[in-house]
Amino acid sequence: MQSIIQLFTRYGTFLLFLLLEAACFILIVKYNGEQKEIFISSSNRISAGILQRYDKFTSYLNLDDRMRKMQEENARLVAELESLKSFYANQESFPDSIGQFQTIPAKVFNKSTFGNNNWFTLDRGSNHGVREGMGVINDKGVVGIVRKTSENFSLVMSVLHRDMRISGAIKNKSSHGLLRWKDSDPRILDLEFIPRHVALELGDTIQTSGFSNIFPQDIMIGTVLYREVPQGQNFYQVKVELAYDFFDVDYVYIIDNLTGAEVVRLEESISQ
Amino acid sequence: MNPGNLAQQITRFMVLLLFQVLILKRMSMGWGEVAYWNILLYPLFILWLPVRTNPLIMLLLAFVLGLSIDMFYDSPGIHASALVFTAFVRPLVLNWMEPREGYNLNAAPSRALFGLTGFLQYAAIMMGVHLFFYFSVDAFTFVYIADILLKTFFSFVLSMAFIAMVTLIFSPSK
Repeated sequence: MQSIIQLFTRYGTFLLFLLLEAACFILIVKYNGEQKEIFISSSNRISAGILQRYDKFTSYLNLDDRMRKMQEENARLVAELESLKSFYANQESFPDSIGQFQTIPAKVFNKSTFGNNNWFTLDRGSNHGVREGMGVINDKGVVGIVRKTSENFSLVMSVLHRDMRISGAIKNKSSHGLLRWKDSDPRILDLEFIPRHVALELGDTIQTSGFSNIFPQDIMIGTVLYREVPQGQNFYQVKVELAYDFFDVDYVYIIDNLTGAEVVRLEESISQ
Repeated sequence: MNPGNLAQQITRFMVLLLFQVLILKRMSMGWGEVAYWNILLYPLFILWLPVRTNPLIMLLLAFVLGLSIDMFYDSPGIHASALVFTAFVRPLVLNWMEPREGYNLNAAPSRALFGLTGFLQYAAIMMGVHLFFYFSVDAFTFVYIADILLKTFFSFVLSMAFIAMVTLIFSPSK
């Protein structure tokens, strides 16, 4: 006993240092693990409250800019609607109009685009119908996937997260691959598993494939920046430049796939 | 520690925390296309603590402040581990910088104690240690060492600019 006390008075600082560092590293490892069951995150009550209030305040400062963005988006949608109208005017029957996808508009009020594993916090949660696994997009392209929800908030794993996998297809070419963020550059994704026989060109558009139940088909992701078939390989090495700057993400849409659960049930029934 | 001093420390804690998470955090994200910097000012809380602060208390304070910062940065443990390390290193740095006649009983590292250059030198060592540790833990592997050093460098320059400003504005020379 005596010697333990002696040990502590002599090396107490160092022991406490080790103890606190150990606690920190447990937090770090746990948070980066599979389950994000951790209390300290921005969707907990205190910090979310403060951040949201502050965000409300600062959002007045750039209302003008945001309104212009909204207007641009509206203008594009109106144009699209008009062209669709004239297209369907010549058709004999309308397609099945039961929408497969619904969207929940939400606002990003906390984000990181700096580290290796990036997250967004949205001001919509399970009370508004947000569930884990829903896709998140904005008018320019794919943003991420909802990984955790509380009553009023949800945490979205960004496309710029080391664990993120998105199924991506090449526009107008029948081939698709897997998108991952491997670089440190927050504008570049890797597209894997594109076979070498595909005529892939620089500048080709990469969109969502629609195979994953999370995102609808043909949502913009980016353009091909670099493509090369390494010696003796069957697959391309492809770098994709993201369609937009992740610092700019503010208003987003959460995608609710109404038939997604049915598809999953069907697929699971076979694997059993 | 007398009550007036305690109130001062609590105010510092709150002001640095809020300034960091509400203002500096946004500046780290908002400028330019590739953000390679993260301006950190909150280590000033540890830097400013009186020289004779009990090291155990200092470590605990660093842990609490770091975790509070982490709560807003969505990075549990990363800021905390860096700040605990910084607090652990501080006595060694202070020991090395000790004036020949030793420290006064109530001395705290400041412009008045070290002079402007001396204080910035002290801050530079501490911030260098803090930022390098922070970005290393953030990457969690030394595979990205070039990346870590680059981020540390840019963040260091900007953070030091802020510290110099704060020192010139708020810290009396006598």
